Amino acid sequence: MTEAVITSRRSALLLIVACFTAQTLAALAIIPPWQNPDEPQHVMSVRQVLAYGPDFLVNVLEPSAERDIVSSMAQYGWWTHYGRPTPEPVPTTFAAGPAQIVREYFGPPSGGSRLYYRSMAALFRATSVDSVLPQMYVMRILSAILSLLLLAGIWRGTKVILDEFSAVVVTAAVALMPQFVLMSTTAGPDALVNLAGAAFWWSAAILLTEEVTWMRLTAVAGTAVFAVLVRRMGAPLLIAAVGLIVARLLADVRRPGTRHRVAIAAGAAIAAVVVLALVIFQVMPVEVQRAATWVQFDPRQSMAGITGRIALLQSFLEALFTTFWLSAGWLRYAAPAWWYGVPLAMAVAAAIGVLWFASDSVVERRAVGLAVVMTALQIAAIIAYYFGVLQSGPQGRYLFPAMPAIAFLLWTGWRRWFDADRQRIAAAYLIAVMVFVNVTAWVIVIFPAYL
Amino acid sequence: MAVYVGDDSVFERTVASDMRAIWIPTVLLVTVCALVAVAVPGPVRNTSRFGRVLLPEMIPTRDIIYSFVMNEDGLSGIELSTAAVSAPPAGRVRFRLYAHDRPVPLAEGDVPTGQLVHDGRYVFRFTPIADSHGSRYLLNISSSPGSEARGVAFWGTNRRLQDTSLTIGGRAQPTTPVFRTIVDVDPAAGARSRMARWRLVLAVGALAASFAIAVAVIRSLLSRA
Repeated sequence: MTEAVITSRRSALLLIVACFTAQTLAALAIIPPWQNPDEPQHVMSVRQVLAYGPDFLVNVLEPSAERDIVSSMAQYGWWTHYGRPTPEPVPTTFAAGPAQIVREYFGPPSGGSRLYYRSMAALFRATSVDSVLPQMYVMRILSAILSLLLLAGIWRGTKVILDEFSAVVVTAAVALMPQFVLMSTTAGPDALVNLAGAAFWWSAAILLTEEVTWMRLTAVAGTAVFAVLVRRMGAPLLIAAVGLIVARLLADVRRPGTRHRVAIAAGAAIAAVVVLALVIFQVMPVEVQRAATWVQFDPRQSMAGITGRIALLQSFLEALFTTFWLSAGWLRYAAPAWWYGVPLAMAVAAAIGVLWFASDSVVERRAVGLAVVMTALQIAAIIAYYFGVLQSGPQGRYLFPAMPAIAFLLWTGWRRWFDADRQRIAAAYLIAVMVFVNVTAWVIVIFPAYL
Repeated sequence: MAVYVGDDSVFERTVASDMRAIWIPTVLLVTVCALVAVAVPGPVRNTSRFGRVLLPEMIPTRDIIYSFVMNEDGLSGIELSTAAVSAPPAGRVRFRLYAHDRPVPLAEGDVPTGQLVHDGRYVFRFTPIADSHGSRYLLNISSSPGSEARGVAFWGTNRRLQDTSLTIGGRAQPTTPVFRTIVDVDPAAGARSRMARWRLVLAVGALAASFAIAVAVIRSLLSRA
């Protein structure tokens, strides 16, 4: 073995962080401004908070910010990437400009929590960053930093459930996923809710493997609540949190000698969550109300939408899968069909591995159950809302709050095809495939799109 | 791939062999990616000396329409290779350049055939188009109305350039004219170009580093520590 071989698994985390950081640098260097999903709308929302405060109206936009953003979009070829000529003169409003291309409302989100926008506005106010382009880049860089923390969360959670070796594999797989890299350099709140998903994964892993304490229960509930407060695509985590806590408490209550301790822990956790909820409600009642309103939808309307369009569900799920792995720009730049066959084969192998081969470890079985539930809830929510209610196309990034669970399933299903003494080979194969997926994504799709 | 058979020395040899098997193709892959990525765009051109064919003679009913995608900003001219096919050439030839989605020509020129064939090449010049990068253009060459062109033809090649098409007299041709685009870069565009090059170097360097690190991660997974 050469001296250069890294002997510490822990140093592998640094390598993964370095690998991911290098990719985010590449993405920041090469992807033109406004080319990641909804960046103009998110920057506009921050500018609205700066101009009118957090209770701004979405139909009264700050004219100079709107003009500057549209002008910058024109300068950086937003229309060209849509295959359209840049209008002359350049429009001064979203309605006259990009809305004509996407043929729908184009502007700040009409609902949902504004916590992220308020935070960014406070940052820009404190740092005196006042031009739209620097603001957009600050938001992109912040997303990249949040994504680095997300990797740490995945690492810690997976290490608690399995071991440090598996933590390396799962974290590396996420760091090499091309769409995750792109979304990690997007100016918007996605990275924050994804980080909440990783924090949930970590706290859930601890709750699965360690004794029940009020702090552990509160951590699971708290991370899920935070995810919902940031963005509605974090809502499935709340259901997963309730399910996990109930299942864990029921399991412990049945065990002799633990009932008293569990009851105390549960009582203290409930008290902590109630206090936390009261504090949040007291500090930002409007944000809570916005978040709560934004996640509500009529299940009957959703079901009617699903049953009425059931023939389209397969193509909806296909689009969800492909955009989960790679779709650059505003869904404009996809990989060739054969490319998606590689992650599909990997996913199928992992799924069969999970279903076919039983795990020896109780903890791993529980973690697989949690990961399956997290993934299924996220997919179900996307189908119910985007397919059933909005009747629009899906975007794979909506699955990212469950990314730790998905990557964990990928590894745990994959490795079961290999004997216990060949786990290193299994890991090397998986990461090599991910490297291939990553390299080809850059060379075939991202470079040609933006060079 | 390595199979752990219980003997540490065997294991280490096989793992080292695994690592070589991963390192070598990865380094090659990264090198190829870097070479592909840093290929700085040059003019769109087809100046091959091989497989040249003379396109049909220019006559009033035989318009030439050539479509191509520009790969740089500042398109300001198109050079074509010409030949006299009967003596003496007569009449005039009209050049019109269109953006593919606009009916009004971006540039027009009307040239005597004698000037066209004077030294075997002709440069159709026009005001630089600042944001030509990525746009598709149609070059329409026809006999000038009222002054029928005779005795002139353009050179082409048997190979068809990617993202181009050629129709002559309404018929698609499996050939490409011998041509090259000309670019006039204004100082601001030059600065943007230099900036773009630095961004490209940064992106490729960062990616190469990322792939090398990914290989190091694989090595660390294969190690026994």
